[in-house]
Amino acid sequence: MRVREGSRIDAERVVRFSLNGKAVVGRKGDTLASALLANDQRLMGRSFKYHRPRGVVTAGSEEPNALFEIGTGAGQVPNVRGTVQEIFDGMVARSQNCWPSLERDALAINDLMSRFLSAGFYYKTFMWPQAFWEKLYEPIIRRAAGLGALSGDEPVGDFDKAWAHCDLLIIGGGPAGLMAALTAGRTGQRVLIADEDVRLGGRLDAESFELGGMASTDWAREAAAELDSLPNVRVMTRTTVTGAYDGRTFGAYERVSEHLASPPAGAPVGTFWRIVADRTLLAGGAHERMIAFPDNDRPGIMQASAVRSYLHRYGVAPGRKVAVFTNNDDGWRTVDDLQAAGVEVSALIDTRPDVEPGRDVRTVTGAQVVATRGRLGLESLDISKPGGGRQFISADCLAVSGGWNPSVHLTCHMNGRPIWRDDIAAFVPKPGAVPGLEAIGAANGAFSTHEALRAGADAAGGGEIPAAEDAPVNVTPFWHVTGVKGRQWLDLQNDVTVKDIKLAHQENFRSVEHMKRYTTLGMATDQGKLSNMGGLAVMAELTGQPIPSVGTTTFRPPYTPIPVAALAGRAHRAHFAPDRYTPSHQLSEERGASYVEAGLWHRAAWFPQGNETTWKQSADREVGWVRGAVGVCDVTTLGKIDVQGPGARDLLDLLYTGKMSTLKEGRVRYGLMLREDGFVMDDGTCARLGPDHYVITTTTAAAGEVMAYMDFCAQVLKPDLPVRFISTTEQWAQFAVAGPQSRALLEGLLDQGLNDDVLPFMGYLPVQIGDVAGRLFRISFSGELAYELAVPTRYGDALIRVLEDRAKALGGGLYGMEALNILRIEKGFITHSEIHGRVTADDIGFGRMVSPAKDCIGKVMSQRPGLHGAERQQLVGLRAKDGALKAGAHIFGQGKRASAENDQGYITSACTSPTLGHLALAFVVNGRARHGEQVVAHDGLHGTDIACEIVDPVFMDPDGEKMRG
Amino acid sequence: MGRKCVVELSAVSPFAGAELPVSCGGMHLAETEMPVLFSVAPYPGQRTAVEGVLGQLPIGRRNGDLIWSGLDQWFLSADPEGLDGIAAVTDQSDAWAMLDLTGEGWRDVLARLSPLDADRFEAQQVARTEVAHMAGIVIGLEEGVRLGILRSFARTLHHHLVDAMQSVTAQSVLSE
Repeated sequence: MRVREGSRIDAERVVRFSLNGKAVVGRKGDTLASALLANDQRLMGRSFKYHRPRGVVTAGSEEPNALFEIGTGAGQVPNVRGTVQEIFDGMVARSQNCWPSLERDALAINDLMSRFLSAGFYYKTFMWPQAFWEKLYEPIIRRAAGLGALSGDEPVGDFDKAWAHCDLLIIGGGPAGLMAALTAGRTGQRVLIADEDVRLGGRLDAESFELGGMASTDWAREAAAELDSLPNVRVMTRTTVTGAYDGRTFGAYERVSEHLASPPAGAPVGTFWRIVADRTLLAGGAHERMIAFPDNDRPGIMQASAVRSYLHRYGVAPGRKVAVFTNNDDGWRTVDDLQAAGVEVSALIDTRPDVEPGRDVRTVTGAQVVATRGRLGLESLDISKPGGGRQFISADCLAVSGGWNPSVHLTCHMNGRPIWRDDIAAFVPKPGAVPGLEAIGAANGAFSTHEALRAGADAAGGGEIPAAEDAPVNVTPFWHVTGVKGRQWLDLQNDVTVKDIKLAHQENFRSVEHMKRYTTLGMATDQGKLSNMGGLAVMAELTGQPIPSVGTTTFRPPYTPIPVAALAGRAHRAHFAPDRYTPSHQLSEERGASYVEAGLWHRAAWFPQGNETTWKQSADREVGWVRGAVGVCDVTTLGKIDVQGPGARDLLDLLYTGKMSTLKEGRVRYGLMLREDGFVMDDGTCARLGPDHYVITTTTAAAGEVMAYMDFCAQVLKPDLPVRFISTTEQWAQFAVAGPQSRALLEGLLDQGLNDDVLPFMGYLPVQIGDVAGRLFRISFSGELAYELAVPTRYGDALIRVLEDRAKALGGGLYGMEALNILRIEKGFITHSEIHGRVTADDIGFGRMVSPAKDCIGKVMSQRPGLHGAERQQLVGLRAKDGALKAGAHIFGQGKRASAENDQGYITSACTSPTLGHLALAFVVNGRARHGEQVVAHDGLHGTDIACEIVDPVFMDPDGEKMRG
Repeated sequence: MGRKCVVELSAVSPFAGAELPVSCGGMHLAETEMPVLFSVAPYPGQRTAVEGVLGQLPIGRRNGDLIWSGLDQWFLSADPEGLDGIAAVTDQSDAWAMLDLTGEGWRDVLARLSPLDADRFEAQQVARTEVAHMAGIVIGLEEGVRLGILRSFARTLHHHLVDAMQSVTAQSVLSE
């Protein structure tokens, strides 16, 4: 119920939303949890396994129980913590994991069978009959278990990713963080302070402290205002630092519009930040622990600090009759704050026998809670003292305080493990666990406000701090009650009890890592923030060790759940990767082309015409144009590297197997590059344009790789060579003009003769097209008389249109990648389908291209035993009569079983040529000596066996007369 | 023999088909005016000679027409002369596509596209870095930044820039 003003609440602004179809009214500033509590609704969810009624336990992001689905349709988000979700008009919320309703959940029957559903039950049941598992058991279990549901629709909403830099990153805006930010900000340091909450303040908003003579919440507000006014300070609220990474970089998720009824158009749902900080202060505070006792999970049982948070921030009392159960002095505050708000406190129960809280309330020391009642919400509880009987206490809310756990998570992200401190019975961060990061305040086990302020100021340069309380916590460890029946919950989200830990121990899962996986304690979306300590304490008792000897499991990013879409940012769907478009793309679109992706490039695969309905019809026609008239194809995408300098010759001789240094001006040579290990890396051409000027080409997808490789060779292997090179792939639009009519087309276009004297096969000529200077190469990938014409890319669109017009006039036209592939297979020309990284020059029949007259990279290693001779799989051609061959099929002798022992090789490229039938290029053991042999191509994926003959890989014009002219 | 060649090839921009200029919030996005661009890479031992022709070769910065572009390499936004034998020169005028982003909010946009320290990026500063997952060059302008990527990537750069401009503008009205 709402009992007073709250520092977050704007009482004038009513907000209407719905939960499970029922209308609920709250106030601006309420979270979903505070609004429900204000409306006296304690029941908020059902537990994961047993479907027990559950309520909210915390007031922060560590919440295990109050999880909801928010939104409908594609915008639906599951597992939203009601303690974090700010309400807005029209918000639609639904409880999870309950059917048909929150109040009457059919699967609560699981709770009655809890004896059979303890930790690891699925390893021991559902074993028989085996066939039932996949069809029956698994689908049932899957439907019964699980938390929230995804909509299954295409998601809506965008996420940004962004970078931020600062001198000092402060994680957490409570007293320690605020003081550090003020101190550093006032001296001009570049500060970034991030807090997961809607505003800075932390516990200062949740306690009735005084700071510097004013209410702590007012001090926090003034501090935040000062930080906002400093231009060198960046305040990021609703921003959770999610992970610590290498290079002093932190990940953080900022909730931008999750709390807005109508986000402005163009605004993202959230932003994932990478923050690079010279120094970082972890001031993320601590989480209050619970104490385990029988049926300690009823709605209404919550953290004592949460009761205070709801009171001060939201003006809400979670109950009308509150009892307090504590093992430390901090818990007593709850009595004071509740009574000051006019709420009845029914009892203060302290586990410690020798304390005197001195509060005006029924006080029982040296006592523990041993039973609770109230199925859909707490109604009463029993306490007992050792040697004494039970006492009955009436309460609809039990505020539990078991001490505080510093929030060490981030400090474990780089494999650090926290350190135990006996005096606070808690783990604290290990110094240096994250380079450049220091924990301060409650995150470092300093729990008083004064200590937090002092630590913050000192970490940022020192100075005066305002006066504040400095009370010790005085905790005496008490983890769970003993000697009573009833399940005692540790991990509320995964429904793990003290009994489950004992069972794991009994079954010999005694390492803390095994206990975690066997019981699933700490494996839910809250990563065990409230449960890990309790689990370790039980293990310590069972093994007779102190808690630190038991060890800890680790924490991994993200600190709290974030949408996976936030990690993708804008790189999704059509924009998953950058797109690269060729100079002829606009024309290709006009011609209705379909595309194939080569690396990031979109290359036209075929250009449909007339009645054509399949790619094959178009490709066959285009092949016919190239073989019979002239075809034009965009080959801009192949890498072009411009190499200059007196040392260019020497570098090229080092990179290529061939002696490029003998290449004459105006000539082009085909070349292979090997890797250091002697295997082929790439093939391409090298053209000499001038005395010390070369242009080399690479295959499309390897252009960047070859460039990087050349940078390595030049900088590391030959740093003194006078040679420089740079990519010119993008500078030149380049088009293949191929076919018997190609010369005629180009002579007409360039208005000059192009006979063999002017431009021989494998030659180069600078040319003019109007005012534009171009480059003409006579090279052929189709096996026909062919050229490649290059102009600066801005003229590419204009040029391809002219070329298409002239080709059409000669009975030809555009051709795409499918036709190009058929043409080159017919000629036995290889691509990276053949030079896939595991073949040598000799394997592809180019052993003689490794010049004996000079060294080159890879030459020595290529001569190793095992890389030559009859044992190698060598490039061959295959021809089949009765079926299309497929790349990936393996080759076997006739009548031999398709097995690893009988495997003779595999097909790398295949096509059905319109004139030559079913062809393939393949690697076959000792292939060059087996021409004429009949073998079988076995395709296990498609279930086919095709008889074929091993032949020379050049299926037509073996002497190359057409291209040599 | 062929017919008389009277072919005149017209030029198209790398951003043909993309909406430019774009105004969003207080920001403005326009295609960079850069008529020519050449790469200049002095040969070993020739840096002084090249500086004699072009002026001081800056590192990580721009000096008039000279733009640092990487190890031992500069871009020159003017016609190169007098560099024969002392530097490798290539035409890069068609290889790059560049956009100028100006107006308040440009730093927030830059922060969404590259890992640079956007708040500290100065006019005339030059960085070779990742821009929207593409290899790029970033040049500081007086009230904004010039972003360059290889020509074929132009549409992708334009798309992500406009998205980021819209995002930054939309968020600037969120006060709390």
